[in-house]
Amino acid sequence: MDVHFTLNGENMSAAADSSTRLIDMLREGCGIKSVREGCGVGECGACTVLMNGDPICSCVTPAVQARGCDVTTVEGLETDGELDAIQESFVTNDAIQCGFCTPGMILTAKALLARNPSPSREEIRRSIAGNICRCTGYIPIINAIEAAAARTREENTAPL
Amino acid sequence: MIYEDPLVPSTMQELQDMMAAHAGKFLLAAGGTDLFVKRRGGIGRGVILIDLSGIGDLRGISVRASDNCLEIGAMETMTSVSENPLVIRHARCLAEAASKVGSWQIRNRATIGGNTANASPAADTPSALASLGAEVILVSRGSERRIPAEDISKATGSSEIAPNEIISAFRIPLRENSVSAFGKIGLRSEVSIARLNLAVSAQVSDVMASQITNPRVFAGTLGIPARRCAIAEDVLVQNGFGACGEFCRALAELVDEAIPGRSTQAFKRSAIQALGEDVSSALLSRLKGAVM
Ligand SMILES: Cc1cc2nc3c(=O)[nH]c(=O)nc-3n(C[C@H](O)[C@H](O)[C@H](O)COP(=O)(O)OP(=O)(O)OC[C@H]3O[C@@H](n4cnc5c(N)ncnc54)[C@H](O)[C@@H]3O)c2cc1C
Ligand code: FES
Ligand code: FES
Repeated sequence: MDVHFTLNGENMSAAADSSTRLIDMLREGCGIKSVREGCGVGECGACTVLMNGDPICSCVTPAVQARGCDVTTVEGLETDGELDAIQESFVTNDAIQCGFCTPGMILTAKALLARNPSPSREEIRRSIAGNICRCTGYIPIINAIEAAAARTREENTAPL
Repeated sequence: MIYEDPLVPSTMQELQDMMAAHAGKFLLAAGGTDLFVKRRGGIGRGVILIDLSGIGDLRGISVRASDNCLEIGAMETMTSVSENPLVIRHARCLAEAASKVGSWQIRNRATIGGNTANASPAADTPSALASLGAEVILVSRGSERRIPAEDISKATGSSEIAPNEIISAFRIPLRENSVSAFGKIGLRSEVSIARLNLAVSAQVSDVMASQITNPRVFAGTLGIPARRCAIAEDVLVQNGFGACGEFCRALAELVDEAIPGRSTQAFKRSAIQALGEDVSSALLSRLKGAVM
C-alpha cells in the first residue's frame, strides 16, 4: 500500500507491505540515508527519527504506522543551508568521531530541548540512554547538548 | 512487494471483521517493539499485518465513575502511562513500571497492551497491574470477557488470549487510602529487560499505617510475568511496612520456591531483598499522601 506522510515538512508517499519497517521505507523508498541501521533490534538508537516530535527507533516501527504522521530526520533540521544549533554544537564540541551515531543522537537531543530548554546533565544523560556511541565516551556529546541548549536560550531571550 | 499489504482498521468493528476474514493468517501490530524484534527477518509470506494504531477506541486514560475504576486503553504507550496524572495518582506503581521500560525511544512506542500480550516473564508492567488488582478486558467478535491481570499468563511465553481476541483495555479498581510502589533491578539502568521487578500495593488505615489491608505483592521475572507472594502479604498485614527484614525474607523464600536450582537463584535471592527494602521505604514515604 502507499503510505502518505510528511517527511521533513514535505508531503511524501512511499510503498510499504506488511513486513516493511519505517527505516526501510525511509532509506529505500525515500532515499534518506542518514537513518542508519546498527543493531536492528531497538537497542542502539542509530535509526532514531522523530515521529510527531517524539524520538522512536525506526527499525522496530512498522512503516504503515507513519501514515498521516510528521517524520523528521536530520535532513529536516537544516534551514536554508544553515545547520541547526544542535548540529553546530556537535561540530564545535568534538561530539562527532566516526559519525555513525550522530544523526540519531542529534534527533533525540532535538526532541529533548523542544520539551525541556534547560535540561540538567543527568536529564541529558537519561534521554540519550537509548543512543549508543562507541567512540566518544559521551562526555563531548553531553557538553554539546548542554551548549546548544544555552545558545538556544540566549537566542530566544536576545532583543530583536 | 513480496509480502501482503498491511490492513489498517479504524474501528473495533472493522478490526474484528478483518480478524475473522483472515483467521490464522494475521499478526497484530501495536508498537512493534516486540514483534519486529522477534520477526527480524520479515514477518513471513502470506502473513498480514493488522495495524492497531488507527483505532481510537484502544486509546484513552480515564476514571470510569460508574465502575469505580481507572481505565487504560491497550494502545497507550509507556510514555503516556508514565506521565499521565490519573495513573500517577491512582496507580503509582504502574506509572513507575512504565517509566522504567527500555529507552525513551522504546517507551514512545511500546504499548501497555503489547507488554501483557507478549507474555514475556521479564516484562515490567504485568506485576504492577497484578498488584493493583487490574482486570484485562479481552474483546472478540460480539463478546467481551475480563480476567485478572495475574491470570493472563501462567506459563512462560503463553497467554490466555485467544487468537480471535484482543486486549482492549485494563481496568484498575480505585481503592480508598491506597499506596503502591514498584522497583526494578536490571543489568543496565536505562535500557534493560527487567532481571527482577517487584510491585506492592495496599490500603492503609492511617499515616502510621497501623493497619494494612488487602496487600498485593507481585514479583516479575521469576519464571512468569507476575508471581504473587502470599507470605510477604501476611507479613504486611501482621506487622505493617516497618517489619522490613521479615518482609524481605518472605520475598527471598518466593525466589527459592519459584526458581530452585536455577543459575540466577542466588542473585535474585539477594536482589529481591534489596528491592523489598527500596519498595518498603517508598511506601512508607507515600503514606501521608495516601490517607484522605
Ligand atoms: C531495546 C528494547 C528494550 C526493551 N526494554 C523493555 C523493558 O525494560 N521492560 C519491558 O517490559 N519490556 C521491554 N521491551 C519489550 C517491549 O518494548 C515491550 O514488551 C512492549 O510493551 C511491547 O509492546 P508493543 O506495543 O511494542 O507490542 P508489539 O510488538 O506490537 O506486539 C507484541 C505482541 O503482542 C501482540 N499484541 C499487541 N497488542 C495487542 C493487543 N492489544 N491485543 C492482543 N495482542 C496484542 C502482538 O500481536 C505481538 O504478538 C524492550 C524492547 C526493546 C526492543
Ligand atoms: S538500528 Fe534501530 S535501534 Fe539499533
Ligand atoms: S561517533 Fe562513532 S559511534 Fe558515536
